[in-house]
Amino acid sequence: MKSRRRALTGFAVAFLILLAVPHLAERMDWPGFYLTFMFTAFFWITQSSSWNMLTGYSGYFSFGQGAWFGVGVYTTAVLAGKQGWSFLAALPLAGFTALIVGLLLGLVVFRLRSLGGEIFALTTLAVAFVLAAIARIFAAIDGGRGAFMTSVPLPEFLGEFRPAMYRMTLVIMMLTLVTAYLIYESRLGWGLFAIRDDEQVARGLGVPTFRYKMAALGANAFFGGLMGGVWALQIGFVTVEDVFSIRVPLFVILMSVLGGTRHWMGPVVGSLIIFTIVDRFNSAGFENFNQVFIGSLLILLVLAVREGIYLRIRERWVATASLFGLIIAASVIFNSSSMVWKFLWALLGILLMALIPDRAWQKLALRRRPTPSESREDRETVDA
Amino acid sequence: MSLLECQGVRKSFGGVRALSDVMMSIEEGEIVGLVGPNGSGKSTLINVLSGFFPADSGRVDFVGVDLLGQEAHEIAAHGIARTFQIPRPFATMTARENVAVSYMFGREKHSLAQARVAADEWLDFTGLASIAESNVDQLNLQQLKFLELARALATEPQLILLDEVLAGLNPAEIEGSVEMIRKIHDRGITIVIVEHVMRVVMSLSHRIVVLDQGRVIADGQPDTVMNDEAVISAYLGGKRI
Repeated sequence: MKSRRRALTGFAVAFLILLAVPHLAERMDWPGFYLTFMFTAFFWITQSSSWNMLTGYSGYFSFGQGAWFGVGVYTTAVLAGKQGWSFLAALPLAGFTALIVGLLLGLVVFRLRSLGGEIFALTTLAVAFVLAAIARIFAAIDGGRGAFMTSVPLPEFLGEFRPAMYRMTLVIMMLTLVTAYLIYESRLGWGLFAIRDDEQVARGLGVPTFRYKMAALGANAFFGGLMGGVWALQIGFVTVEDVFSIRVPLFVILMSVLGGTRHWMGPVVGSLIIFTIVDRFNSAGFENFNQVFIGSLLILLVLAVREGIYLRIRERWVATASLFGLIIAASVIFNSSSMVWKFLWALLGILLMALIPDRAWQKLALRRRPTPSESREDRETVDA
Repeated sequence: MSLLECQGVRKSFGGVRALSDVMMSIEEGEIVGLVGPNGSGKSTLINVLSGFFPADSGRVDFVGVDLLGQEAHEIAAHGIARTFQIPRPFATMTARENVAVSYMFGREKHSLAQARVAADEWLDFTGLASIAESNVDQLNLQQLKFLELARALATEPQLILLDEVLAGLNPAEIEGSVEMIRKIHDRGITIVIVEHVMRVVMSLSHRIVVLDQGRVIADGQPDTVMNDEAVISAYLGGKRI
């Protein structure tokens, strides 16, 4: 398929460009936190995109992201941090351990038909609690004393700590996004969308619902766990309270819902916006206002743009790109603060633009060019 | 050999027996009307045949395969499709996407690329080509019912179970739907139709099966069946049509 080949080429190009960033950073003498900012963004993009493979695609609402993340973190913390395995040998197991836990959960909840929406959500939340308890009880895992990752050596070829984190998270993010895209463009994806819309009808038309839900849950757990495995390094001192907190599941839900759960790009856009805002609030010393701000922003956004802002942005992509470029250019000229702040202003600009309701936007657009009929056709459709 | 054969099919919900010892066979190429008063088990039988409810006991043979205990998606793969009385389209998809999904699964597995082409054929066949791009919330009832048909047809079934496709339609729309059912039958697809509009069932069906309280009480030519004493008293309450 032509469009698929083009998209995969796009992924490859994006990967190569992003791979060059650490070299560039070194040569141009960028502040170190640029890399940290970027690989933390990669972390959130991966977490929310993997969550979306299950919840966005199949409609089964999951609070389980913290569980997959936590399993991943503790897998490398135990194997590399305590048992002295080499980190790169332990890392794949972080993904596979989470995959196994995910499939076990799937065997239980998807076999019992009665486990509908709310019960499924609560069950996934409970899994994180159970795993946290297990980690706290067994000294081989944590035992309540935490686990150190600070002395784990990283292979030479990955470079210093920051570039190494950057490269590993980049690879995992690209794998996750390519998977999310391929599912989106395949029978598996469409089967899942059918399940999301009406599971019974989907079964009647021949969708093997159990297998498909297991696949979605498995992919979600695997990538969430794999990224968790790398993230243990960034945490440094791993504790149960921190790892299994509600933070990860809550943020991935907010990010994906903001960006839009119906398209694979939605979580990417949502993660970038929310992570950047939170990061800048923290760096400006407003940690305490973060939750209030994020909370109210979300209520506003979810009410104003139900389908998520990605689809809006795509419909208005010319305006989006121009606005983004304009704000970046303006902030380069008028202020000298860091690149990340400029990025924030640009994202906020896009956010405000996406908030303009469709009707008002059409009025604005009408004045520019008199072809109102095409706005509807921008929607993703199955046409040849 | 019959296309479909039910023997002693039983289904209870709690203490209520919805189907008791249903015996019925469907020959290839037939249009069979399945009628009976409310609560007689018509919809339950459709649900059992399409795998939505598991039967408690009995046998359902479809071209030599026992369907009982098989999952709905496996039954679809054997070549049985159904429609719903109240249309249940995939709400976040366009009409074309609805049909494409169905073609991807169904009796044979197809890729997304193939489905994009095939969906248009079925939309054409059901006269929905002009609304292929529309979201389903923009369609009227008849279009939704035809979309149900297009979706069922896209699974490439041998047997199609139509659950009250005419309910809620006006006389003109009913005429159009009857034409459509004939067109589907002309393609060599066997049809079981559950329907309340007796005039239509009588004219469409080659054979009529009457259910009452979960039991088959009559089975035969439309005219003979509708003059049957048991049918008149059970189904028509003593009144003739």
